[in-house]
Order: sequence, then structure tokens, then C-alpha cells
Amino acid sequence: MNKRCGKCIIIGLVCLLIVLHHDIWNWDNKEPVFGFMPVALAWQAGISIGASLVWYLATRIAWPTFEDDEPTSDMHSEEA
Amino acid sequence: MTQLIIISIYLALLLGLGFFSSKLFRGTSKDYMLASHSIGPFMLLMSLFGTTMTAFALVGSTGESFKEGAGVYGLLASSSGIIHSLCFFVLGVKLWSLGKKHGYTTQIQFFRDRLESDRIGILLFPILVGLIIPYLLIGVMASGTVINSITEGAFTDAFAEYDYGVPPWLASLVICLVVLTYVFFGGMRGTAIANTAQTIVFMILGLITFVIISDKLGGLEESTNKVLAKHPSKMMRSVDPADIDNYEDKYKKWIVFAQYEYAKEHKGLELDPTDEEDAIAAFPIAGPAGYLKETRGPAIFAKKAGLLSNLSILDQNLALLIQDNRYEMPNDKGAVDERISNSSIMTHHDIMTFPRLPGTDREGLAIFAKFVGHPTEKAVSGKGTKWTRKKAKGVFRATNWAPDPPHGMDPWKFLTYFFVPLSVGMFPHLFQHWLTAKSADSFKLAVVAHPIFIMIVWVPCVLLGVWMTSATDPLSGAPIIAAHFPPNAVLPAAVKALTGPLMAGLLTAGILAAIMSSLDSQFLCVGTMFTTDIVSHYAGKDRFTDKQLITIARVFIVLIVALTYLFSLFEPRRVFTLGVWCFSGFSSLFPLILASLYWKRLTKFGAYAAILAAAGSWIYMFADANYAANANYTVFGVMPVATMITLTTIAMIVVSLMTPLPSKETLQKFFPAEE
Repeated sequence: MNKRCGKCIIIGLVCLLIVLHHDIWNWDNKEPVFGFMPVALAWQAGISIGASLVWYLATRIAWPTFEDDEPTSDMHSEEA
Repeated sequence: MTQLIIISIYLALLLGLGFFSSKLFRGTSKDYMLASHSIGPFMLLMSLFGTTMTAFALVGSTGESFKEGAGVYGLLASSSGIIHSLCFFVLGVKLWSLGKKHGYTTQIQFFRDRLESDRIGILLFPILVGLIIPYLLIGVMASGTVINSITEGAFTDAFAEYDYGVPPWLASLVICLVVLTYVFFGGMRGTAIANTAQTIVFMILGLITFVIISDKLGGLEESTNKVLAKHPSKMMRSVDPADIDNYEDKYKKWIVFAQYEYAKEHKGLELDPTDEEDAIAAFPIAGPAGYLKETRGPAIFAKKAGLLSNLSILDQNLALLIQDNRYEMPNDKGAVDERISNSSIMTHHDIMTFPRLPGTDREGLAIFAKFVGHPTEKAVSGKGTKWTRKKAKGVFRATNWAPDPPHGMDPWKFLTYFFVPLSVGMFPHLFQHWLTAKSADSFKLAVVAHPIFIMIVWVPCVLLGVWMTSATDPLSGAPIIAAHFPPNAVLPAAVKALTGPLMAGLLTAGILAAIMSSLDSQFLCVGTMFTTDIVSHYAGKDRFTDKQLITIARVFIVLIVALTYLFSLFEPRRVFTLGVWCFSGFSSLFPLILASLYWKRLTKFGAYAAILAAAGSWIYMFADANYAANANYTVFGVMPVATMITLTTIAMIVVSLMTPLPSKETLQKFFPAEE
């Protein structure tokens, strides 16, 4: 898979996360999940886990490349 | 005293860490400011996370969920998991690459270069430093509140005014001095090491405390069941009908109480002593120190006997406002505020448009004087211990002020909160942390783990805040946190009430770790900005030696910290509200940093327009929200940050399109592949 395709997938998944984050369907739900966790909290914790997975995928398929070893110009400060 | 000893040991250990990292210091300004680009993935994750999680995440989130319910996590935590990592990925890595290539240390250096404008630095410097001050204020203020709450009763005779604990002004001062010391000794490397250590400390201690507290409350399910029974609205983002019924009932009773108190004070109403005694005896609920029985019983009697029926509409409205400490009767009754209606009874919403008069809860100290004393001393009644001054004021608020009307979370407000975490893209201290990375790959761990780390810290804090709305003392059955409790003090009060001195001391160390791991980066950053963007830039980079530059940075840091400390001595604001305002200011500049990296057409005039639009809209709205005193301020029903970002973006795009492009050399430098 090329980087461009990877970036499109990540953009799509981030948009999906943003839509799922606005969980209007849970607004009136007070029933706890696992017997103790408010659904408003459990759903959003799920969004956090989802975000982590999406960002993991981003590091695999859409990570930019840099010339890490390029010499530093030290325009503003000098190392002794 | 145990808590104070543990906190002191923790602070001493931190100072030791500062001395240790000073041994690793290479003596150059580059090492002092950027740790010589040597920070690997784990330390980068810990220092980025530690820096972004401040008092806001622990003290603020617990207090806010106590007030607003479980929806608070969605407002900022889950959105931050998406947006923060997005900023690290889209902005951080690219800025790190440009910074390493062209030798940047600060944001302003980058903007000056990218926008071919020297003066942009003069405009940005005061704005960025000005926005960091409220951010610092959050930490300084919260550290004082937390240490004071946890050390109540630590001294036998001293500091009676502060419940025999460390005064908040002294605690804040000590925290500032400790952070200043280890930042001065260790620079960025010391800050990164201290951040890593402190982030580990607050995450582990936070989880342990959560387990202990939930166990003390009877377990996870039991704690949640109490909320479902007492305040079901706190479990969701809309209002449960049971909460509305409960509130309406309480509000009606409170009106009777307010009218009775008003009639006594201003209309000369006096009950027959026998009637009063009978009325008190007939009221079924004693309340704290029998106060409810003594006040509500006679009020109900007066109402039933028709003794309150001669109050005019103006009198009834005045009664509500005065009882809720939102208005004081003027000496000349003809000079009554014209907003107070004399033709219709004001609704609770109308009443709340009058802000509460500051410090009025001090009346509780006079009413409950005989109960107040050293918190380890036995109460006169023999039951329990004497009250703290905070408790006296808290009981006064809970028993005298109107009940809070239940309110849900507006979906538009919730949606537009999404803009707040964009602030991470413009935090100057994060920019500096990004530049410390050893390589672009060092960012990967931070990008992936950041949302999970946020979850680990925020979920227990939000749950605790929700539980505290309904938790009761296992022995007395009294609420652990009363109504109208100051949100900033919910977490320390819960820890103190539900854990032993050892655990309370350790958790306080954890809370302080979170606070200090942000303060240190911010302290260092303001010093770096001053020396790099002002001193070296205008005096010439060879005018001062590295040693002199470090000294100048330290002097400027002390000045800014002193200024912040002075602000912290004024009337405190809700940590969460103040944090949101500060983040909104940084977020309003997000379009500028994004465009400077990805939009060739951005011009220096477009950038000026964006900065002026951001600053102008922020100042106007902050003042309009009564400088963060109005916690529910919105613009057109959405978060002010949404309007700020819209205005900034429009100004930037329109002016950029109307003004000439940057030079070919600059475009080649920043967009090489596209030229």
C-alpha cells in the first residue's frame, strides 16, 4: 500500500471517530455498562481506545519519512 | 501531619532529581533548552503526556464531573485522544523536522522565517506569554488548594485561619520554588526526567487511590447505584425526570425559607416563642448541627399561618436574591436594582443572572462558630470532631442557597468542545518538547499511547466526580461532599474523607506530580522564548555568552512566576473553566500553525490578520464572560472557541488571498517538493 492511500484511510478513520464521538443516541441513556460505568463514559472510553488503534495504523501506513541524519544548521544556538 | 511529611519527602526527592540531572547538563543553552535533541520514544511520550495532563486533568475533571456528570469525559478527554495525537502527527513531526533542519528553538523563530516577518515575533510574544499565564495559574492555584485541604489539622496552633493546615498561598509558593529549582538546575533534560518520573508516579498512585476509594464506597456497582438513586442525571447528558421533580420540590421549600428569613429581617416578623418551639420540634429533619430543624420548622409554620402572605412581589423577589447571596438590600429601598421585577415573580433562571456576591459564605463562620475548631479536637457534643472553617462555610452554602437546577449537556456545546484540544498545536512548551526528540520515529509511541494514557487518568477521575455527588459517609450517612461544594476541592476532600493519612499523602504527591510536570515545561518555555525571541534576536546572538543567556532566562522565568503567583492570590476560578479559556486562546491560533505548514498561499499579512482576529475575539469574549466567572458562557449557543477559530480562519484566508505570496526562496525552503 502506498503512503497516499494510507493517508486517505487514516483521514477516513479519523472522520469516523469524530462522528462516533458525537454519540447523540446515548444522550438519555443512564443505564450503567458492566454494572457501574455510565454509558456516556464507557462509549467515550471506547473512542479513546479506537483513537489509539487508528493512530497505531497511522504509524504503519501513513508515517512520513524524514532525513533524520541531516546535519543541524544551528542557526540560533551552538553546542559547545 | 503524616500527609505533610509525605509531601515534604516527595518535594525533597524532586529537588534531588534536579541535582542529579544537573550532572548530565552539558552547559550549553541548546542542552538547557532542547536537551540536545536526545529524547527517545519513552521519555518523549512521558514528557508530552505529563506536560498536557495538568491540574486540569485531575482536580479539574473530578470537580467538573461532580458539577456536570459523566459527559465531561466526552467533552475533553476522548476528543483530546483524537486531536492531541493528530497534532503530534500532523504538526509535531513536521515541525521537529524543520526545527532540526533550520535550528529552531521556539515557535516565533519558525513563524519569523516562514512568514518573512521580523515583527510577527513582537506581536506573538506577548500573546503567547499572556496565554501561558492563566495556564500556569491553574497549576499554582490548584496546588495551593490541594495541599491546604489535605494538610488540615497538621499544626496544633498555627494557621487557624486555614484550618490548621498549610495556607494555600504558602503551598503555592513552595511548589513554585521547588519547580523553579529543578528547572534551573536541570534545564530541559532535568524537566524531561522529572516529567517522566512524575507521570509514572501520578498514574500509579491515581489508580491505587481509585481502587481504595471505590472499595470504601462499597464497590463499583454500589457507588453507581447510589448515583442512579439520588442524581440520575449525573449518569447521562440529559436531565432525568426524577431529578426535575426532586429539584422542584426542594426549590419550593427553599422559597418558603427565603421569604421567612426576609420577613424576619426586613418586615419585623417575630413568631410567638411557644409556636416557634413547637414548629422546630415538629420539623422531622435535624440537618447539620440541627440547623435545618431550627430554620425550616418556623418557616413552614409561618407559611401555614399565612404570616408571609403580605409580602409584595418586589419583596418576594428580593427575598430570593438576598437568600441566595446574589443581592444586598440597599439602605434606601427606593434604590433597588431596576432589574428586580415588582410585577412578576422572578424565575430561578432570572435569579441566576445575578452573580453570587463573593465571600458571602463567611456568614457560616458566625452561624456555626461554636462547632468550628481544630479538626482533630472532639466536638462539644461528644460525637465526631470539630468542624473546619471550610465545613462551616460549606454547610452554610448547602443549607442557605437555592438548590442547583439540573441541566443537561447541550449537543452543540458538546460538538464544539472538539475545538478546544486543538490548543495543543499552539502550546509553545509542547513545540519545545517536540524539538527535543531524537528522531521522527520517537514520536510514534507518543502518537499511539497518548489516547490510552488519557483514558487511564480521566476515567477514574470522572467516575469519582460522579460518585461524589451521591456518596455518603459509611458511619454517619451524611453526604461526603455537600451541595455547592467548590469543584476545585472535590478530589482532595474525597481523598481525605475516604483514605488514611498515608494514602492521602501519597495521592497528594501524585496530584502535585501532575501539576508540577506541566509547570516545569511552561517555566522553561517562557525563559527560552524570552532569551531566543527577544534578547538574542535583538541584541545579536553573539552579544551574550551561553551562561549569560541561561541567567537572563532564569530572571525572566522568576518574573513571570511571581506575576502568576500574585494572580493566584485573588479570587479563585473553577480550574476547568479557566483551563478551557486558556486552551481556547491557543486553539484560536491553530489555523495559523496549520496553514504555515500546509498552505503555501499564507502570507505575513494573512498571519497578522489571523493573530489580531484571535486576540481580539478572545479578549472580547473573556471579558464578556466576566473573566471566567460565568462558567456556562456560550456564543450563539456554541463554545466561544468555535467562533474564535472561524473568525481567525476567515481573516487569515481573506487577507492572504489579497496580499502577495512569500518569496520563492521561502516557498522552496518550506515546500520543497511542491516547487
